[in-house]
Amino acid sequence: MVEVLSRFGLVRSRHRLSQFPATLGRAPSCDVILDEADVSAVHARVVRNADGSLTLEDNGSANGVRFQRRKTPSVPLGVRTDVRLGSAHVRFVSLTEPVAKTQLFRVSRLDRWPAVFAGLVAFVTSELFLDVYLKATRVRASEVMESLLGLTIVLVGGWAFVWSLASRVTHGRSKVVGHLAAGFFALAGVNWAGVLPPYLSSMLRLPPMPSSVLRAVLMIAVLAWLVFQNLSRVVSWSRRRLLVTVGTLALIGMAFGFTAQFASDSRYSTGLPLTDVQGPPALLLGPAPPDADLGHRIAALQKEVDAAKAEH
Amino acid sequence: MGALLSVLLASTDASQVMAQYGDRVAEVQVLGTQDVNVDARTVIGSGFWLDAHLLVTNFHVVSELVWWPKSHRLQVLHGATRLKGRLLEIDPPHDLAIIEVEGEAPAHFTLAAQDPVRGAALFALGHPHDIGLSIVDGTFNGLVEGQLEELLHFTGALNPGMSGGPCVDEAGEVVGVNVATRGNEVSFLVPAHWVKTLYERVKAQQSPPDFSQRVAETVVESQQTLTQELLSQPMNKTTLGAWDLPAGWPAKDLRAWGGPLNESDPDDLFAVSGYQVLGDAMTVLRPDAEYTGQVVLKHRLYEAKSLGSVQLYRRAGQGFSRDEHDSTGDEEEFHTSWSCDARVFTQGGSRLKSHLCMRAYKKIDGVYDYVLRAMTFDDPKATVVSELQLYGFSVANAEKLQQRFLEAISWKR
Repeated sequence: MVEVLSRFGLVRSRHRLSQFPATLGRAPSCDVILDEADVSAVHARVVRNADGSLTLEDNGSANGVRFQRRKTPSVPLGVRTDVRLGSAHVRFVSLTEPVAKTQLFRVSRLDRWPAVFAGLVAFVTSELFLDVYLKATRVRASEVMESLLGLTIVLVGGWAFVWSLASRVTHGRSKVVGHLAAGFFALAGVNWAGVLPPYLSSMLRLPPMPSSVLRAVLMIAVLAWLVFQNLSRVVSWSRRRLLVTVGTLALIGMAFGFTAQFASDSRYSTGLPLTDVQGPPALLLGPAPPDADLGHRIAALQKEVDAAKAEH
Repeated sequence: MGALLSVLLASTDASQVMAQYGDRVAEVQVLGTQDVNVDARTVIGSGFWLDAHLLVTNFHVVSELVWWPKSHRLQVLHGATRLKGRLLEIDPPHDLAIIEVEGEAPAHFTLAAQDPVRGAALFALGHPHDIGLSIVDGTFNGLVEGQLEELLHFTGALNPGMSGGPCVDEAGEVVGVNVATRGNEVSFLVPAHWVKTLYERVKAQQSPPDFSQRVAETVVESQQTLTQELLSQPMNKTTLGAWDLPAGWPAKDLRAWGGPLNESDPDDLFAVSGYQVLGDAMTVLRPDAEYTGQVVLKHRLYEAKSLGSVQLYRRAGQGFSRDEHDSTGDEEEFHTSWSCDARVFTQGGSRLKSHLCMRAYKKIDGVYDYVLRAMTFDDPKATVVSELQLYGFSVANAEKLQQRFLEAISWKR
C-alpha cells in the first residue's frame, strides 16, 4: 500500500497497488498521482522481483528518488519504507504484515490530535498577543488611539497567522483570508460592543448596570463568534459539536472575565472597555509570594522612567 | 517714666520700622521674555539686603530663572530705581536664594542670632501684589507643628508678592524670610539660620554653581536627612477594622486625620472610613505648579453592609489601578508620565495586591516620585486600600520607606 504524506507527516491519501509494475507521478495515467510541481510526469515505478519482493525504481525523473536522504536509482521496499519523490513524501507499507493495523490506528489518532493541539496553540498564542497588546496600550487612551492602526495589524495579523497555521496542519490549506476576515470583524465587533451600550444607555438615560451587562454579553458573543469562525475552518467537527465547544469556551471566558474584572488587575486596565471582560484568570486564584519584591520592581520602573526621561 | 513709655511706644510702632528699614527691602522681578517655545511667566516677589551687594529672596521667586534661564531675566526694583541682578546661590528645600545686585545698598539687615520668644511682635515687609512696599505686624508663634520641614509660625497676613521679604523683630533683626501663607493670618517664615548657612556658602564660593545641578544636590540631601529621621524608629500604628496599619512616623509629628468618610454610596450598600497623614514638606520647584518633598499616607476601609465580596472589592478597587495621584504636575516640562506595575503577595497574614507607580523628574536627577497602593483580600466583607506617596526620594530611600510601610500592615483574624 502507498501512503502519500503531507509536509507535517500526516497521511493525506492511501492507495493500494494491485498491479505491477505500478507507476507514481504527476501524470493522470499514473497509478498514484502525486500533485507536486517538482514531481515528474512518471516519476518512479514499483516492480515485482522474481522472489515476490518489491523494488522502487527511478524512471529517469528530473528531481530523482531519495531514500534516507540520498538519491538512489532503486530502493528495495520493506515493511515500511519512506521515500521522497521530489518534494512528495511517500510511504510504502506492506499489507502482509499484521502490524499494519495498529499502525493505521495510530495514524488515525494522530490525525485527530493535531487539531486540538493546534487549537490550543492558537488560543494561547492569541492570548499572548492580546496580553502584549494590553500591556502596550496600558498608559493612556490617547496613545491607544494613535497606535490603534498598527496594533490592529499586529493583532489581527498575528491571530490570523496562528489560526492559518492550525488550518494548514489539519487541512493542508492555510485559509488565510477567512481567518484574517474573522479576526478583523471580531476586533471591530469588540470595539463596537464596548462603545455602543454605554453610549446608548447614556442617550436613553438608562442606569449603568444593564448597559455594563449588555456590554459584557455582547463582547462574549463577538469573541465566541470569532472562535467559532476560526475553529470551524480548522477542525472538521459537526456543527453541533462546534457550538457546544464554543459555548463552553464562552462560559469559561465569561467566568474569567468577571473574576479578572473584580480583581481589576492593573495590567489590564487600558481604558478600553475590552479589558472589562477579557483577561486571564483572576490574580487571586494564583499563589501569592511572601514579599512585595519592591527592589526589583522599583529597578524595573526606574529603567522605564529613565528611558522616558532620556527620550525627552 | 515718660522716656520709658516713649521708648516702648516707639519700639512697637510699625511706622517706625517702616521708616527705619523700608529702604533695605526691594522688589524682585523675574520677567519672562518673548519665547514661543516656553510658557514664560513673570514672577514678582520681595528681597532684602544682607550686605551692600547681596539680596536674599525665596527660591520660588527666582525658580523660573533656574529652569529657563534663556527666556527669563532678573530685575531688582528699589523704590523707583531699576537695578540689574545676578543669581548667585539657591537652596530649594529651604526656599532661599541669594542675588547679587549692582551698585551698593544704602543699608542692610542683620540676622537675629536666635528665635524670639513666643508672642513677640514681628513685622513682615514686602511688596504684596506689586502695589508698593508694605508692612504687616503680627506675632511670633514658634515652630510650625505637624510639618516635615522646619518653618516658623507668624500670625500675620502675608500676601503674594511678599515672598522673600524679611520678617524682623522689634530690634530690626531678621527672624525669618516670608515664604507662605495658609490664609486667616496663618503665615510661615524660613528660619534665619538657614539664611546664614546659605550666605556663608555664597561668601565661600568662587562663581555661581550650575543651578539645576544645585537643585538636585539640595533635594537629594534633604530627602536623605528626612529618610534617616523617618526610619530611625518603627512606624506608629493605628487600627482600622481588622487591620493594623502604619499611621505615621514618631520622628515627625505630622498632621493626621481619621474618621468616617462621606464617600459612602447613596444606596447605603457599604461604608467607608479613612485615615490619612499629610507631610507637606513642599519644596516649591515652580510656584503654584510644581512641588516636591511631600509624603502622604492614606488608608481607606470599605465595609460591606449589603454587598457581596466581588462587588465590594470592585467598589474599593475603583481607581486603584488608575494613575490618579494627589500631585498632578506638568508632564510636559517637569515629569515623565507614571510607570506602574502590580503584584500580589502575602504580608503579616494579609493577602495584598500592590500597585506601584513611579515617575522621574525631567530636570532633576537622582530623585523620583512614587505611589504605592496596597489592597487587602482577607475578609469578604471588608477591605482596606492603603497608600503611600513619596515625592522626590531616591530609589534606595523609597524602597526602605515603602518596605517599612508594607511591613506595618497586618490582619488580625
